[in-house]
Amino acid sequence: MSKIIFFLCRLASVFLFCVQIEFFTTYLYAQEISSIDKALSDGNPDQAVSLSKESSNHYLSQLIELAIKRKLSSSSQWHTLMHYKKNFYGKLESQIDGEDFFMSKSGKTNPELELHATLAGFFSQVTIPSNNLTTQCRYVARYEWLKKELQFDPSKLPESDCKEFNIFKRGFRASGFSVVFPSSHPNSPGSMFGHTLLRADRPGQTEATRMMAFSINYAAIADQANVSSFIIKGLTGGFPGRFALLPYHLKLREYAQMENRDIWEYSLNVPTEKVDFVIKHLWEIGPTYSDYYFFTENCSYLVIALLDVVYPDDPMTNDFKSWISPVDTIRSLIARNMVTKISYFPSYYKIIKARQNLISDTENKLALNISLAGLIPHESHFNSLEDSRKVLVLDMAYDYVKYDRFSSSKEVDSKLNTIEKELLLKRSKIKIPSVHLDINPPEHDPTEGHLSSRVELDYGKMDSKDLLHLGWRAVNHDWIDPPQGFNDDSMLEFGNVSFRLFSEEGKNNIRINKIHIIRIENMEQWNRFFRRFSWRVTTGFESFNAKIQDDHLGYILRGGPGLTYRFGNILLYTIIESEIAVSNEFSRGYNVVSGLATGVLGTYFNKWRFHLYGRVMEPLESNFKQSQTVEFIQSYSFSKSVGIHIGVKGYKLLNKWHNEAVAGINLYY
Amino acid sequence: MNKKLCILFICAITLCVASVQKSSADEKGAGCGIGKVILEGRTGMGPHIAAAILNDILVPRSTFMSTATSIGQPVLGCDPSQTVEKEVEQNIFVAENMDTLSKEIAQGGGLHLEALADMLGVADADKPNFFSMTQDNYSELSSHTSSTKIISTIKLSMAKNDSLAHYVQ
Repeated sequence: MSKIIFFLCRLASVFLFCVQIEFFTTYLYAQEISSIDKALSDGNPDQAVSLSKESSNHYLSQLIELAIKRKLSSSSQWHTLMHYKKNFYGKLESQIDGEDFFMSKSGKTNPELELHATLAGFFSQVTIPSNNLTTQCRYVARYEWLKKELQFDPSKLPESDCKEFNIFKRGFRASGFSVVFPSSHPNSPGSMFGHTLLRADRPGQTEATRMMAFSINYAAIADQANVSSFIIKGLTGGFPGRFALLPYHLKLREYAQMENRDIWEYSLNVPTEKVDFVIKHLWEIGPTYSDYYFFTENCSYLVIALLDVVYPDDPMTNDFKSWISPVDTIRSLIARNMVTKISYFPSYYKIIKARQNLISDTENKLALNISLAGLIPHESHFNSLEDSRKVLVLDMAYDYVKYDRFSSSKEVDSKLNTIEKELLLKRSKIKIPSVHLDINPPEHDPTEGHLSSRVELDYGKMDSKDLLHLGWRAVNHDWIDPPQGFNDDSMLEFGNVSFRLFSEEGKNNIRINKIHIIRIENMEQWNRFFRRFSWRVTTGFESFNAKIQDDHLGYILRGGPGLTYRFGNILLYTIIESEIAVSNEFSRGYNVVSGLATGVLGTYFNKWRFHLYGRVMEPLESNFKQSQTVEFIQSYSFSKSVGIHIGVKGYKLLNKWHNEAVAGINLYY
Repeated sequence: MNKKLCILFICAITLCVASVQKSSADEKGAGCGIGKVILEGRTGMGPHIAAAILNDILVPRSTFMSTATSIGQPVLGCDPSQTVEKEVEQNIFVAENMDTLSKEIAQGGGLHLEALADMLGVADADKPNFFSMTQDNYSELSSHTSSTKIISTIKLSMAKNDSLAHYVQ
């Protein structure tokens, strides 16, 4: 009997012990879960992650384990969503700089921790400060992808109803995308390389209704800094870049103000089901910022980075090694067969010029006068016209008034002034619809232009010395480059370096010929209405032939205004030019020259270009610098990538004429 | 000496002219969807225009925009959340493009007017009628400054027009 009791006691104690263990482990289990939950509710995803790695009882631990097993944090989809790229040191780093974009404190440089912290965040109702949304409702693209990859169990990880995002998505009504490229014009250096933005197109969209679609624009938020700090900050990431959304009609209004911007629209074949994912990612990235770098992480880079999320296995952002020009990003899209249609919309400037062509000189003068003083002073002349001519004159006059308003103020004011009201009232009473202006698009769109960089290799003679000339230009376009896809009345260059190798009395000398930082030239035709001056500016370092044997590099800033007239394919210009040169060679340390330059530019058959000019400059220190120059350069382009050129130059120095002749090839890449 | 002064003078002028660039707005959007409430304390052309034009529309900030505006310089932009309702979308379109619409109404047609017609559901075949009707009503339409009034006036005229009445039933 006592043995049975003893045995029963033993059993009971074992049972109690087991129950204790049970309670204890349940207690521990509950403690683990609750400590993870506490970390989540404290808004500390990093801690929740590290706690969950110590146990496997919380659903978060299981998800993290599965994510590790499936190597999700090293997948290309995760990298495109997080914008991870190898930095200068070869380490992965996200190109997004706003702290609020990362769930983990080390998220910017650690894809794995970021992914785990994101998973942790999905369990939490804690909101992210920058826009007061929970992780699930802010990181909607990450959620969609992770849910699919890890097959979330909604009973263990409830799905939130993200009202704000759903409204946002409904407002877009998007079913496709277009990339919009407003072309650049030298009058606006900030637009030097053009710009690209994305537009979320709607089903059944027409040319008219495309105005209602939302444009997605990435730009630097620049304070009203002075020019030099603007340049420095813009190049070195001193400004934050942010996305802004505007209905396209407002973007078009902006471009009407920047009168010379033609607009090219490239419709893309992104499938509708992928469009939603891009919009989700836009929602994730919209509230934050990335440091804006004018040449690399610029407007057009972020546009393709946005699209990369739906093409993670072959990201377009990987196509670019150094600088990124907007045109190059469109070329990337075309190379991937993503562009289905190209549309062209002329600038306000071109519209006015087309309208000017419809009326006689007298009618044009009348329109100009009416635009300045209203109808009443010119009533009798106006009334003498036939109705159809009245319509043309009124339309022209209205455009003149509007254009003047746009170009003389920064404000986009949509209120009509007195003259506009008078003109439109009169116009409304003539029941003839206005003429539809037929403006032919340029033969080539900007992507068909030559590639930005150029190498030139020449052989030549300077006086009796043989020389080899080697030049490299970083970006853009020159008077002798293949003209397709560019305006023929302007040029812009950034970074032009050249060396010369001289062979003289058996010795070889290599000298830097020039280092141009920027060169902008704008030879616009003088127009009675626009009254635009031509101008040009060059700055950089050039070699001076001070005394014949010596060559010295000095800093120069050269430029001035002028006038240009166009005769078909020929531009005839005259520029009043000045130059400041800084060098120790000068007794004062600097020299100043001023004078006149006149020249002829021509472009024929899209292949042959020439530039003939003469320049007379009076220097302050009369022994110095070229005082008279005549040069004739011509080029012939075999294709967009190869051309040849020949140049002959004569210049007077120290009352003696010198000659130079070079011939060589240009390669564009 | 005089010649040198002359040269320096020309130089100063030409370089000044050459270096003055017309500064452009550089991708700053016009104000949109920001009512008078948000104008307070903000500078810049956007809020002022928005307040002046949208004086009868008060659209609240949205999540997308409010974040961007909470750090540093306000980023002015519209947000799809604000134009989810078609009426709001139409109102903003008319308010911000009043001058272009006036011009196109007076001229008997144009792209913006066509977009408005599309928004009101007018079929292509009826558009010439729509343009003619708005041109006839130019005086009345141009007397209104509020976008909602303009749209309602257009709808009233459509109701009186045989071929357009069914669009506003």
